[in-house]
Amino acid sequence: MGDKLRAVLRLLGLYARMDLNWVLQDFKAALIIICAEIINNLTAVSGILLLAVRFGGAGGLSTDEILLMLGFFELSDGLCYMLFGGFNVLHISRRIGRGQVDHMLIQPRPLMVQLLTEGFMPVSGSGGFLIGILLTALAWTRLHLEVTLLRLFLLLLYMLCHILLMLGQSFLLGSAAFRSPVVSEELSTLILDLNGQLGRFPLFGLPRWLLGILYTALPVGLLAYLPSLALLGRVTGAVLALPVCIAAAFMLAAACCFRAGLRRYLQYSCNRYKEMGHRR
Amino acid sequence: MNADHECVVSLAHVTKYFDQSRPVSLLKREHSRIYALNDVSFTLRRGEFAAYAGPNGAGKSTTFKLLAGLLRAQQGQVKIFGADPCVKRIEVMRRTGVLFGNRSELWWDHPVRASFEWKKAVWDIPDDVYRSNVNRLKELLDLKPLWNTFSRELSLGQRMRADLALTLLHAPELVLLDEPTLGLDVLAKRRMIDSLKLANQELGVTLMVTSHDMDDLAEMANRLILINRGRLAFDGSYDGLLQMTGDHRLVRLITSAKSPVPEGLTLLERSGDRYTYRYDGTKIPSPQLFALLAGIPGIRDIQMEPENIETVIAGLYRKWSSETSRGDVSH
Repeated sequence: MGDKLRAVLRLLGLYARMDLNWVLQDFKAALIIICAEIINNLTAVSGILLLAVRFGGAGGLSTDEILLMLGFFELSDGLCYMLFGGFNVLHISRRIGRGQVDHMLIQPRPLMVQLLTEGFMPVSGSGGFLIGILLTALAWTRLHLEVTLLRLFLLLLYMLCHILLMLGQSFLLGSAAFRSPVVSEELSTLILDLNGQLGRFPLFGLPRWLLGILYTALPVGLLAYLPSLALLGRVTGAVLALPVCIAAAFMLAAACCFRAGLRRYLQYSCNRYKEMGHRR
Repeated sequence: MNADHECVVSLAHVTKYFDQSRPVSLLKREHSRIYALNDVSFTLRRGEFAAYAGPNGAGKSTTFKLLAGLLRAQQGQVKIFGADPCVKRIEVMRRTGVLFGNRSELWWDHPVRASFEWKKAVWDIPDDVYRSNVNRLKELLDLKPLWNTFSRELSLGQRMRADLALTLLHAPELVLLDEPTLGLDVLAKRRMIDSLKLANQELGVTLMVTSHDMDDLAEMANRLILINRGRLAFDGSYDGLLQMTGDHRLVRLITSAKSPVPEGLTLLERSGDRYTYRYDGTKIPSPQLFALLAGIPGIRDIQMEPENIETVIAGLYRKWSSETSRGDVSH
């Protein structure tokens, strides 16, 4: 276990260096990409924020509370992107469907270690995370939230849950690429985009059945809305554990499906004899 | 795994098939089973250099994928260094280098150097081994001018050279090369062949290479494994192949007279006063050939040479394809 951890840290260092080199090689182009990502993230939050400013809050949350929710979303999503955004780890269906698993299988490293490290891009992929820090800190200050150990623990825990929920969904749907690459890629991209769009919305006032779906099967409510309510102290008790349970369930399902898919891959390899073919 | 295991590669009665389903009309589908490999057995011993050849769709790439642990056989056993490459993937890959000519392991948006540094970290190559191997490979494959070039800017030949160097970087004991001379110019091909021979002869690396260029294979490898429609068609030396197919040789004559076709020789081509004949060296020994040629008047020049191995194998492929269609496709 210690060896594996050391290997992970060493490889994270390697990919961080490669990312930095990539940025320095063509600094202007890299700067444009990073700025575009920051603008993209600001645009994504501005719609809801402007609505909240115009109407003095939205979805049962005040403007500053909305800002905290948006900040939390950007913080978690930015971290997820920074850790797994590179080389399509977060969009694993693309890796599988385009026959890139072979490249992974010829490396003398466990696939888990490869997947944990290859996507790391702390320099070029940090735009969203930086915006998240900024917005969260701003909201935290404006709301005069006390920094307690519990609140910090919840913040970190829900950030982890956010990442696991994104990875879980991506790998669950992406595993279908072992069987049907094009369909899986389309579906996976759609669901990840949907998470990005709906995850920033406050869900107060929705019918219970819909809220149930958005807290479980399509867990967009667990990405930022419920965690921000928890940070504000608006929810207590068993509900606090819901993001952890759902994230664990998604990861478990994703791990099972990915393993099954990998077994299938060893049986059929590329999709030469497959109906829908695959993209190159 | 035993490091001293003499048998590096072993395939024992390996069968690999793919089931296929195709629409033949709106509602009807046709199911078929394609045998990529059918009861194939062979072994490679340490230090061997084997050429693995066959017509398109013969099962070459499937074999390589089975050996690299990227596929699992339905029947039979595949072993590399005495272990199943699917089960002991990590251990096998530490000692094996794999290069698929139509794919690159180089990092596209980085200089060539970065891919080598990446491999050093991922393969855990010690600093001293890395330095010495990099220097040797840079020299051998003339990589110095490319070292700081972005991989995406390399020509196909340059990419293949860099990819081969990357494959050899961790000093693998077994190297599997699928079409390594693909798209190389004459000089690059020569360099590639020389470096592979060197790796085999001086470092004792076991090599298995596929290529459609039979002359390249004949020059590189001392053993030829031919596969056709998933079945092993030949396994032996090039001399052994010539014995099987006949020791075909060519005679080229330049003669002012209208040349007849001597008995036992086949006229392949005539262009003005130039004639090209083929004959079987096992049936017509040289003294008999000279006697036959002496009977032709007005000869100004004679050239004799063995028939190109590519032509020999092309003849074999033609023979195979004209044979009755195989019985292993079931509908």
